[in-house]
Amino acid sequence: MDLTLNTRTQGEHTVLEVAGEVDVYTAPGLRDRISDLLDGGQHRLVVDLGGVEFLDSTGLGVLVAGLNRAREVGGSLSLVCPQERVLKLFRITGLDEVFTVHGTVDEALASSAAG
Amino acid sequence: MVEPGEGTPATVILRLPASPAHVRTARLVAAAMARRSGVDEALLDEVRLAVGEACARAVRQHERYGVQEPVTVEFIDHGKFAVAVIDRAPVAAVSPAGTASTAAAQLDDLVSMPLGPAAGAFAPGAGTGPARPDLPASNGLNATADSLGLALLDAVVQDLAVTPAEAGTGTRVSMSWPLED
Repeated sequence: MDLTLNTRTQGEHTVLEVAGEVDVYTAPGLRDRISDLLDGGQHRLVVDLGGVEFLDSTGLGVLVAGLNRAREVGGSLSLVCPQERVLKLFRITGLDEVFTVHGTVDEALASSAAG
Repeated sequence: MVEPGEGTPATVILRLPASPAHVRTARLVAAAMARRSGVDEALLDEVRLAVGEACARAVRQHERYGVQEPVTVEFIDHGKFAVAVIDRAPVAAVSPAGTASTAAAQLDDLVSMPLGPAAGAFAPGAGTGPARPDLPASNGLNATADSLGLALLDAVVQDLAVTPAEAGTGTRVSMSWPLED
């Protein structure tokens, strides 16, 4: 079991908890889940990367695609990323400027509600 | 435990089926080899990431061109810890200048765009075609991953070289890390 995905609803948000390794093999599963959530009308997504042990370019690409798609339907996709080693990947690729990244789920929910 | 004599190169060669499922295997071996060779623990994450990116790129290239041959990964412990990932896909697939820096520069242009209406700018030809109702098809996603992957490689590997494979068709991505004294 390399990748675990759990979703829960919190108010008008859907929190998608990602745990394990997101790579060229497992990223399609993440892509499909984000796609299903958006198709199912859950347009305000908070993707919690707190349990991610490894993230590669395929995973980053899936998140970018998910963000683009969420915006297309008038929704949002924000990230929760408490780990420095994962955060570093967003900084290296410049994606920290593209995503709204929060330290905790509560912070992400509060920020999104305010906005 | 008997250690090889100083200066004796220890080489391990992996031949991976060009399938996404096996990229993780390469990462695990890379981390184990690096640790055994004496690479600083603090660098192991970078080794894992870089080897994973190079292998993921190779696998994507093989899938893109329907190449059935395996991807080769060489680990050489000789004064430094060197890794080479060799694919057998047509060389034209590499970015025109064949360097990661170029790809990183291209990425800068790409990531500056998604905030605007051209949110699909990552995919080749986006902006000229109709708006996509779904997440990008695998080709667009692969192109995004290729750009991001090369940017990551470029950032975490100080000693990176992308060259044509020595024999036949393909590309060799070489990288190395220093050993602790």
